[in-house]
Amino acid sequence: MPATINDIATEANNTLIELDTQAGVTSGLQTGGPGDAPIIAALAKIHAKRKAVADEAAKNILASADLDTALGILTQATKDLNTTAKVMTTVTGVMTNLAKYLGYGTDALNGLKSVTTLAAAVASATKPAGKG
Amino acid sequence: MGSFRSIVAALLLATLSGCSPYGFSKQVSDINGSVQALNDSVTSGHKALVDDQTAHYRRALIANRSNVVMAHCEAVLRVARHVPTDADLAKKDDDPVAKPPPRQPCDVYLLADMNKSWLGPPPLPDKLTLSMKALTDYMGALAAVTNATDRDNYNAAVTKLGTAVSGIMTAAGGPAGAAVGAGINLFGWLLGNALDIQRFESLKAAVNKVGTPPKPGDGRPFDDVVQAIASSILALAEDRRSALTDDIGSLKLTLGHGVSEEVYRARLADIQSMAAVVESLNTADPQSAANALMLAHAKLVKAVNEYQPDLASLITTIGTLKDQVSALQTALAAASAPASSSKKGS
Repeated sequence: MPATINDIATEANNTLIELDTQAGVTSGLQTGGPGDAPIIAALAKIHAKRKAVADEAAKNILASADLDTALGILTQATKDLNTTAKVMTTVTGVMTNLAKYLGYGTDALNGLKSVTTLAAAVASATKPAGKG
Repeated sequence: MGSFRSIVAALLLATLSGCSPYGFSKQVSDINGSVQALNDSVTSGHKALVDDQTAHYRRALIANRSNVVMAHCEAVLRVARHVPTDADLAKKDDDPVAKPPPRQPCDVYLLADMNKSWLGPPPLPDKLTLSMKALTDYMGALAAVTNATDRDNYNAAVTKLGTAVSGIMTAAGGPAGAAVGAGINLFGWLLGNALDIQRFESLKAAVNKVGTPPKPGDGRPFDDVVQAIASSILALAEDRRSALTDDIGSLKLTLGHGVSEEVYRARLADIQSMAAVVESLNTADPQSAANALMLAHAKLVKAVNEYQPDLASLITTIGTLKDQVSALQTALAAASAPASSSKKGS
């Protein structure tokens, strides 16, 4: 059975802890000066191993099928969330536009009303006296 | 009329029972901020690693007083003119864009390295970039669905519409302008609550799906993606730590009575710059930030599923998450060498 992401991460962490301990012990052997060269070389080897362990774990996790599945689920959830979030913003946009057009309609009706009132006033004023 | 009443009653009940996505707005936004910071850690950490390796190369040149050649200074990027076509216009924004191959910058190198196309650490793996994008997009979508500003804008639009309808009815000489306006506001309120419930249900469904293992024995999808990113950051940090500690070791061997005080001082300063970065890398484990992020999401799932969510506990976890991501970001982005370090080791 292939290792899960958790297995890979846990195993790498355990190995890194072991290597940290080795590095600590090795580093403690220094006495100062050029005589430390073999110790520095030994430490470099441990560092290289640590780097290899971390790199390998990261590589294996990125290549795991579990990650592909997880990414698929995350991407689908993201799409669903964005679709829902968009509904309210779309409705808001429609309402805002509708309110704007109705505002124009109100202005037009009020304008028309003013014209009608004016026309009635003009007609009333120009009507010959004694005929109504 | 009876069914209308039951709809209103159901919406009222749902509203009173706390089915609002906006209660989680601040928490989701804070987690989102930490995820963005984690994302930045990867890119800044990678850049710092490239800088470390450049500094390491320079130290080796200086230590060996090597003969060098000038290379890659004639590698000019020449782009042909391209008039946009229909095919270009049909491309979606998220279509992958071809990345240029990695190139070594113009500099001086050892003759043996002159024709190498790439000396430094390789670019970030595509799968890592994809994982970071999936995580940031997901957090962005959670932030969108819990964005209280959308609800404020919706309320303002309903009010405007009510006023506009009322105005046109009055202008048209209708007797019931105010009543129709009030009706619009009631309809808007009902629709708004229905949309809130839809958002809350969407939030609940998403966090549960992403926070639940697809099958027994699997990890939670959210945790797996976070772990993939954390392990890559750990590898990046390990690369930096390894290179810097080796350089400290090599430089340390050159310190002694055989060098002038000036050279000793310069090398010691160089060692101290590197040691400060190693120290911060040693104390900011990416796994701590990943653990806090996984815990914050798990608590978010729990809170969303609860009738009375424990937001205080979630807020505490998010505070810890922020601190750890921030420490990690600082550690990974820290420069290991002062700008003048290349002149110090001679």
